Amino acid sequence: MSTPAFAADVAPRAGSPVLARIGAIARAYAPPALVFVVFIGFWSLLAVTVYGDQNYLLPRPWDVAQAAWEERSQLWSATVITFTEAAAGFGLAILVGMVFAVVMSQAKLLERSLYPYAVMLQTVPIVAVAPVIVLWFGYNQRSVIVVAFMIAVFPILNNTLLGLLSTDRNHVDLFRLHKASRLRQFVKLRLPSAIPHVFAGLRVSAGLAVIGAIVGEFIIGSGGSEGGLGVKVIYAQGKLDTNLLFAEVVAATLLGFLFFVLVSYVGNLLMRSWHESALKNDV
Amino acid sequence: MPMTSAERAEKPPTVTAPTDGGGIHVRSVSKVFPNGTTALEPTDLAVGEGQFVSIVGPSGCGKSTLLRIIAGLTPATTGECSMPTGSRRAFVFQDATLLPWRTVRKNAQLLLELEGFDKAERERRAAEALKLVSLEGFEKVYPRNLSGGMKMRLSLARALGLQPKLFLMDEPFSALDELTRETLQDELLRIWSSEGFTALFVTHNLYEAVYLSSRVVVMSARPGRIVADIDVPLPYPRTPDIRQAPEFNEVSAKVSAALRGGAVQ
Repeated sequence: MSTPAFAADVAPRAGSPVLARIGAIARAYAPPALVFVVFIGFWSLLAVTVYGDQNYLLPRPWDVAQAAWEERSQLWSATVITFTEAAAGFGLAILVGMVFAVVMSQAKLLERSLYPYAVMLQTVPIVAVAPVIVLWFGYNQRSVIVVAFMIAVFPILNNTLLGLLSTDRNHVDLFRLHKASRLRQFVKLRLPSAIPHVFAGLRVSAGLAVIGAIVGEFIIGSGGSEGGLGVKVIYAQGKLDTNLLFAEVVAATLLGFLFFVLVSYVGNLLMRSWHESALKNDV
Repeated sequence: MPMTSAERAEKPPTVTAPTDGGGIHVRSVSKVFPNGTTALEPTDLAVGEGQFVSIVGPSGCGKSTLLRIIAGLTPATTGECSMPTGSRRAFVFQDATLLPWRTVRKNAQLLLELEGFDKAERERRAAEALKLVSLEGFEKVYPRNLSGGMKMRLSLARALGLQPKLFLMDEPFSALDELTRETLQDELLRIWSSEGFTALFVTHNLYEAVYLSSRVVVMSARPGRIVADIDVPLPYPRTPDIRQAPEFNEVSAKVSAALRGGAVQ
């Protein structure tokens, strides 16, 4: 275990700090990069040999790249639209999920009363309620945001609630002994100790929000003048343009990944000095 | 573990009446748990001001329950505890109960924050307390980077910052290795003699109890009760070589006999 108190133990051993840094970055990114190369290689091999004359089933990677480049402005604007919807749905899910988690953590009765409905929000088949959502919110981005919200809210609510309820018993006793008010106990104890749980939920929901936005677009269709990635996917499917379809799938995947990375980054900033999950330089 | 609504509603329980002298007076305090188990039979205990008293006993003898009742953490079923009005109590748990997101410095200030001390006073007292437990220089470190012994030192410092009149400790050293435990025992004695608080120390280690205290209260289980109250006629300040003294072994044998006697019944 390395400690700031014994900082000499964790100082880079290499002569130059710059070299040491480059070395550390290489060690961190080389393994996934290698997996990427192997994956693309395998895909290329398959696309050229087995699907050599059926590339509408499995396009060649460079054709996908070319399609993405040719349609870049469309692809970009669709990605921006989907990003906006996913971000709005995710933001709404954070707000509502955390507020309800805080409310439910205040009394067992509230938790028992509300929790089943939170679960139902998760279990309701989104495709089945989609017509109702469209009926209420119209063929527009608002409906998409609602779908993204519905898919993303439960993990946030559930994990935040779990975090708020798993405060260490002795810590609660300590606060009680020194007559801390409920508000103080919440601010100084329950909330900070819930942070790791909150971010576990946020990481799951980040990807789900993007999926929700695309599912929403898929359901609502091309109602508006411009569509996000979900709408573009329908178009590409209709034209049997597999190259573009693949490019859109890659864009959607990267978008979800970006969300995840952003959330993880914020979590790391908040927890890096004290929580095991956020510590890197442990040897 | 989630709390039940009954626990959430619980009020600080024990009637605390003022007494003339210092110290603690426990009068026929008992505890019966809601499921009907008697954790503690009606118990009387008096601890003089500035005394160091240990409570030893097997697990389930109600020693921790008694300590928690005195601290005001658990309501007593009957009886009452009294201590001087306005006397500050500090409680040290078996586990260091540090807040992992706070640095050593901020952890040392936690109870002072809760008790409403202003910033300057918090800084001053916390720094003083950290010095008392030899943790100066570690202010910016987070608890996860501290050893078990250092965590417990910090836990002691956090309580000492309050300048308590009454120091309640619930098996604080039981999770530590032998060597660290003995070092901390000596440090605790040194701090006790300089600060002059009343100490009530719960342990299951009879040698620890004898080494630290001027009096050892022996408890027994099923039902929890006090079976012996043994004086330790060894002078302070105590040093590790006292463990080889014949008086030390004599008292230890007495405590041990009381513990076994209690277990047989």
